[in-house]
Amino acid sequence: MPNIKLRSSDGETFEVDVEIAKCSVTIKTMLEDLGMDEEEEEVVPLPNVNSAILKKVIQWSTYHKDDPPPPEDDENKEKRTDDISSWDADFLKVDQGTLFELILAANYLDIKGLLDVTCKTVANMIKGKAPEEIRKTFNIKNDFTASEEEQVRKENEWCEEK
Amino acid sequence: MNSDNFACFGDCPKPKKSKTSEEERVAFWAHLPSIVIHDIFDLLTKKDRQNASRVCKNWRQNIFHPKWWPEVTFKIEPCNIERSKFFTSVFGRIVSSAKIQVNTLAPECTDEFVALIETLSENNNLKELIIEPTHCHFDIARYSTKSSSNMHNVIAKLKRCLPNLTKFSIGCIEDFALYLDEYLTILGSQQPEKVTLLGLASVKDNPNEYEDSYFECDLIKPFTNLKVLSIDFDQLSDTFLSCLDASTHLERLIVHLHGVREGHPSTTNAAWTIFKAKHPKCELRVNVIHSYDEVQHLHETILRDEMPLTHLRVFFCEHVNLETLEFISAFYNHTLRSLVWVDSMGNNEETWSFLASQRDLSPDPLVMMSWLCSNLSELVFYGYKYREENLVAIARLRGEKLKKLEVAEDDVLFSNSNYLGQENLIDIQLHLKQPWAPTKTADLHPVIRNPTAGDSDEYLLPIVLADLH
Repeated sequence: MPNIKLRSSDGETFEVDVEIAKCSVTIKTMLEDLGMDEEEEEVVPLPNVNSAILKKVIQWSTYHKDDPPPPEDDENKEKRTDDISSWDADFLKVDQGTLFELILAANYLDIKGLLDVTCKTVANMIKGKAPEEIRKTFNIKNDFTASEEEQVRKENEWCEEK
Repeated sequence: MNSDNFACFGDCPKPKKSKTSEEERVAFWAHLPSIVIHDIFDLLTKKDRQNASRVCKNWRQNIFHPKWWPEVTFKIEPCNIERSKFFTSVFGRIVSSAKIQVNTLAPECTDEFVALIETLSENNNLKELIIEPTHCHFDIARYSTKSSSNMHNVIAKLKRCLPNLTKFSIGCIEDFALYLDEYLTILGSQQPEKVTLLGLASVKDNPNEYEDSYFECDLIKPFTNLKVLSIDFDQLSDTFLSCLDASTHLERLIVHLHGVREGHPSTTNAAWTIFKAKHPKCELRVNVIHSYDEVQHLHETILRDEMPLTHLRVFFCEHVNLETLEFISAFYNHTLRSLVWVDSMGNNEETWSFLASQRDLSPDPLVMMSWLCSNLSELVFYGYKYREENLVAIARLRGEKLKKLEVAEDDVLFSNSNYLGQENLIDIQLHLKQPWAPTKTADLHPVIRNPTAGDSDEYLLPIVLADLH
């Protein structure tokens, strides 16, 4: 299998199997659009991903390289979040900063499977919690004024009414 | 920041970061890109999503996405205009199925209704528009505080809402019914085959004097996938029925009778026979509303024995037509499911129709109906004195198939004392297999208790509007 080189934002270069790199739709498109020849020793720059995260992304993509393509979203189907595989769960036992950057990287690199599983992890951290508990979980500052907060509470109540 | 507050997954190592970078990180989740917030919100239940949307401003901005608000009921009531304004502003442009419940007598509600229609007219997602007013009389010019809110402007805006609709109901508003031909022309020129519901019937303020809302029969032809259609009796004719031939999915035809125009062709049994063959599953519901004259000859001029009549409702016609009841039992005994005959309580000759002396020898028409109509599951009659023992007979004949039996306590004539005998009450409950009692005066709709105590629209509109669902 031919390899290509990926360069992280902090300048580190990673050599990976092309098929693994193509888990990323962004890289796949880049290779196709730019007509990058697999024989050539070109380096794909990824200015939005640092080396620590890129390493994780490559680790994830390597493990999942033979996964069938993710099914099309069924708009009407209630989405599950309890179907994270034990490998993925272990893989995502990381600090919140890493999880956050993995989400951004998955979004930027357009890796649906990784984005799905990281979003599910975040969704599981939100489920069943009151707004203040969610803020505490994610260290989010409440940027509403008291009156804005009251307005939002009221709007949500209206939306609940049948 | 205390590192204990830093939530971590499992036994992962605590991040070794400088204080400054940790402070930077405090806020990072608040700055998730919209597209990711959307993906995360999409995995939550409505309740969790609502809670998450209260966390911070950036998360809040992502809550009003069309995907999570496909159906919205806009309630425009004088007591909560602030809510209406909020709904119009956040949902008006994104909703695909809009139901508007509006108090048509309050000026502030009229203004808000007009504002909502204007917003909806700019919404390309809009697929369903169902209007449910409190009253059929909606004098926009009179009730609006804005000079621009005349009927002409409102209809122009309403018409701009129509092009992509698959379901549309004018909510029986009399003034809206004057433009049916224009609505049908617009709907028919876009994608008529996608339209499944048209609520075009009205309720007239004055049954003896109203403007014509008749449209060319041909205009209904393109709507070949119609399932539910409501029209006024003025529209109904053999020709109209034949124009529905291609609408083979028709499940329910609803007809509102007010008055009958001079020269109205009515319908023939031959046309209904063909109609039944073309639409074997279609039910027919007839709502007779304030038809003081027509109620006298319902079975002669309006009803045809070949009609697939499933529901007959007679509202505030100030007369109970016993011959019509007998006609129904004779001709619709396989189809009739519901009979509703409602008038305000009073004490005149009409009130005693069921007990008139000349009737003493013939069987009671409601008991006969219960005996003959094998699918009857709903019987509601207010405003007419009725014998207790006949109620028992009805319950015995229909048994648990009769899901709804409504009669006012004040209308029941007791055989032995001045209250419903305990034994009879138990007998009725036993046969209906449900807790049952005649409706207490206090629980009656005010307008049934006293014709001057309210507007009959308030009682009948919710019933006839529900026909569309």
